[in-house]
Amino acid sequence: MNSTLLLSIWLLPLLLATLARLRHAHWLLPLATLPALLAVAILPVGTTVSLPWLLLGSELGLDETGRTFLGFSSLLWLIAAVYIAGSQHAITESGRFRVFFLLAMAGNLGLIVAQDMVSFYFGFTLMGLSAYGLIAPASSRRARRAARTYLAWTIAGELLLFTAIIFLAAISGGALTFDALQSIPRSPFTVLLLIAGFGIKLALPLLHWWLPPTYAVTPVAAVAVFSGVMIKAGLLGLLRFLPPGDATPPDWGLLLVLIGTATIFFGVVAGLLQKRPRLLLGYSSISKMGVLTSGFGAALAFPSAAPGIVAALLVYASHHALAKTALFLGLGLIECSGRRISLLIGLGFLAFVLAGAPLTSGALAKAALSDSLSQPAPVLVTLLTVSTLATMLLMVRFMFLLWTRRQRRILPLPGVPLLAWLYLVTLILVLPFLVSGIDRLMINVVPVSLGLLLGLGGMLVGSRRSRANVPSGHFDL
Amino acid sequence: MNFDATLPLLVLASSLLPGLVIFFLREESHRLRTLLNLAGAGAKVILVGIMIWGVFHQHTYLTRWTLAPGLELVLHADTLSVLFVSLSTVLWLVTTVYAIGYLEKSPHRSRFFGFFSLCVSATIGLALAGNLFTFVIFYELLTLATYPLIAHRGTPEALRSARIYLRYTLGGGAVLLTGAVWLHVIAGPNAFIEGGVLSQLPDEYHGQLKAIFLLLMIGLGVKAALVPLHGWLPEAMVAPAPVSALLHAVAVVKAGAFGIVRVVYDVYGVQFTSELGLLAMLGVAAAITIVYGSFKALSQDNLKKRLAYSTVSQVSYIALGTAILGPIGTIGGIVHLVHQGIMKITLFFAAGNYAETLGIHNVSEMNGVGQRMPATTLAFSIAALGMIGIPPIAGFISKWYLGLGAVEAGMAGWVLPVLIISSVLNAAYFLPVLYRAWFCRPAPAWPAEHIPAARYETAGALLWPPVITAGLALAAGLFAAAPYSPLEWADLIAQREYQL
Repeated sequence: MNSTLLLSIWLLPLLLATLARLRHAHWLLPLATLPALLAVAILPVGTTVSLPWLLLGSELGLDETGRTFLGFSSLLWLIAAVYIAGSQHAITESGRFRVFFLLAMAGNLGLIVAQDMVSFYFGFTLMGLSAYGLIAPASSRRARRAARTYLAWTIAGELLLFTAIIFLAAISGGALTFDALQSIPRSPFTVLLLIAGFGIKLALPLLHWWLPPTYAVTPVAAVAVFSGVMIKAGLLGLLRFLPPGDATPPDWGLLLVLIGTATIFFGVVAGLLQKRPRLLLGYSSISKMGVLTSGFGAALAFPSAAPGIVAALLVYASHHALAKTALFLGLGLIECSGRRISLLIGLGFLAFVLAGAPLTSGALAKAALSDSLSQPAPVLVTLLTVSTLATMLLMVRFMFLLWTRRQRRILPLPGVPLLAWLYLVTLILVLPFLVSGIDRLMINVVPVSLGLLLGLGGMLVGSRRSRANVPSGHFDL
Repeated sequence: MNFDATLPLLVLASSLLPGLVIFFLREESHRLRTLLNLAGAGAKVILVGIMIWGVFHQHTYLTRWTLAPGLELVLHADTLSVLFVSLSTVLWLVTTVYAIGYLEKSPHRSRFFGFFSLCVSATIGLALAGNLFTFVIFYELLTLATYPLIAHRGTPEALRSARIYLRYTLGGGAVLLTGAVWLHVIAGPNAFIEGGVLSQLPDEYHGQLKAIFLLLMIGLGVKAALVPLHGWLPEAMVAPAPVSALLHAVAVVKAGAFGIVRVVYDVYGVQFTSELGLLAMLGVAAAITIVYGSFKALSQDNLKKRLAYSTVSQVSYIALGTAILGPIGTIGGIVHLVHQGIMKITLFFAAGNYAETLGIHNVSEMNGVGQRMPATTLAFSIAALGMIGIPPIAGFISKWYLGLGAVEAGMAGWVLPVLIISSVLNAAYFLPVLYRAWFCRPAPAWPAEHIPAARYETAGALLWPPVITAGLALAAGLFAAAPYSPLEWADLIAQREYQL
């Protein structure tokens, strides 16, 4: 029973992919997430199933980390699938897009329940390569080039990981499960390979070159899963392959904290320079991956505090996944049917959520992370606060870009995608109150208001000089 | 003669006898020829099934025939020969079906199928060979049986390629023979024994043994297409697609690679080869071939030529695995013998389908072919991704064991870069093909549409073979750890070789 359910998380999307080229197959997309949703709902944490005949001997299972990842991932794949199924977009309506969507989903959801290196690598590769098809390389020359860049980086990442996994398997004497690898010390070279391999997925600075061109051309519903869900596989990879404790020397933690910090500010600065809202959101994701990387680094550096930090990272990752997906899907509604006040209000709310305004899931995520870091590394709490301010600034810029976006014709809003988006927004609105008391959500008042004020001020100054053509778009490839 | 002594002979005869009869059939007796072919192939599958079971349970199947004192023809089934025999048997069956569909209505079919069966019989013979002498005999027979197949079309180009092939392989055969005779002189009859026997020779022979090893490797390297002895292989791609499939996946190239494995493991012994410093030499040759073949493949527009250079590269994975000391590397090399076979035969079947159905011979003509021939193109895609080493396809398993074996043997410093460069190059010459096939818009008309789209995208006999072999390539990777998978069998071979 458990093994059937865990296996069908992989199998159902793969099977449906074989049917996805049929006409009217778009409602197969949401269906494919059902086993994963069901597993989150009914499987007890700690379930593991050995499948010694699969690949090189596989183990599937659901642990605490996996459950959180599976929870937000399956939910967001579901929402994106419904959004796509109900929308009339030339690319996302094609059978080919559906096939790749389902394959990427199978890889993403599958890697979360993988409890051994080879199954994880399989899922990671399946997701990474299939996402190539989501970029819709046939739609334009720019898309083709972007897709090729993406593919080159993805393959580089796969090969780095492959090499790392080989080294890990060699020191473990052939054991492949994450459990068995828990306390085996990693060599510095292996750690470096893993950080670089997953760093490409997380789009850490200098490894991020694939991201802007990709986000610029991909259909927005696919960017939503790229930026909300698939990017998180990088974090899960770090958590799985570099467990805090004996396995990884703490020095690497410090390095990751530094890399993460650089990423936070790189994302914000580069984001502020963007003229296209979706690229700005993309850089914002890079910035947020910096927060997660720093937090993960702290967990490595302070093994005794690691369980708390990891738990907080899970909250933060879930929050970012939901908010970023919602932002992109809302942006998609504007892109397809024109700017409306109602949509802008929703997106404005989401912008506050992402920045971590009080009474939102952003505040909850920040509170969790601050609490877990306050003991071992108070300096990181300050960093988080600064990052909150910076994100708010970025979000003001985002709203400004939407506000001043050239208005085309207003078309009727597509019903099903709108409902899917509203459902997600409502969820984001309500969730923090379900899991936390109000007093805990009353944080970040100062940095958010400061960021808001700074942003508005900057906007005023900027709009006065706007015709002076500030050299922007340097990062807009 | 009891059954155990007859079985190897029966396995050999199940393709040899139908082949000999087919030579004398009239061109029109299509039905009888097909019946003979399929009956032979079917019988062989059953016989090999018995053999697999027996060898797994430590049964000995041995046919011995003394020609002169000290000179014996020996057919002997051990784990390694069974692996190769099974591969040839299964792929012969699918290739026969494919060839029947491919050559429908073309002239000289009796001659073709006769030599086709001889070619497989020679392969089976050298797979089952129990000593170096028997091996050499069948190795030369293979050369002779393959020549008419490459020349089959009779065009000046085909005749030229066949001549080049003959020049290379006869030369290689002569070198091999010289080495084998020399070895016979100093060491007596060389039965293939797991772990090898030559380490017992006194030290003063080591110089000679090194020279003999070099001769044997050159002789085998011609067929295995080790650089710089590979020149005939890209030329031979003028042969009909089923012949190419057989050449690249089952018979000729594989015979060379199999010979290298045999000599290293069962004549010299891998430990002894390593002590003589010969393993490193083999590794270097393999590494150069892997990278060189992939580089050459990049620039070929002709699909079959691209695949041919890919074979040059991929077959050397087997030699590379042999050059890695230790059971894991051994598994990687040996399992690739099977994996490369099923993946490459799929690619050649698909290439043949494109040519026969739509007249497509070049990569640049493949735009949008995935829409017109989805099943063939899917099979092609699976095999191509497998060649790159993408999980869960068979090639990933090979690459995994080669990499892991290299790390364990302390050779990671050069083997892993070779594997990675090769993966990158494989991606660089296969992925653009897949892009064209699936994402590009088709040209208004195909070069020459021979078979219109009806119920299937092409004739059934052409469609099913690649679909089946692509399924095998997927299954060999996805269920690698399952019993009776090629990986499990390679593991068994390594255990017996290293006496684990």
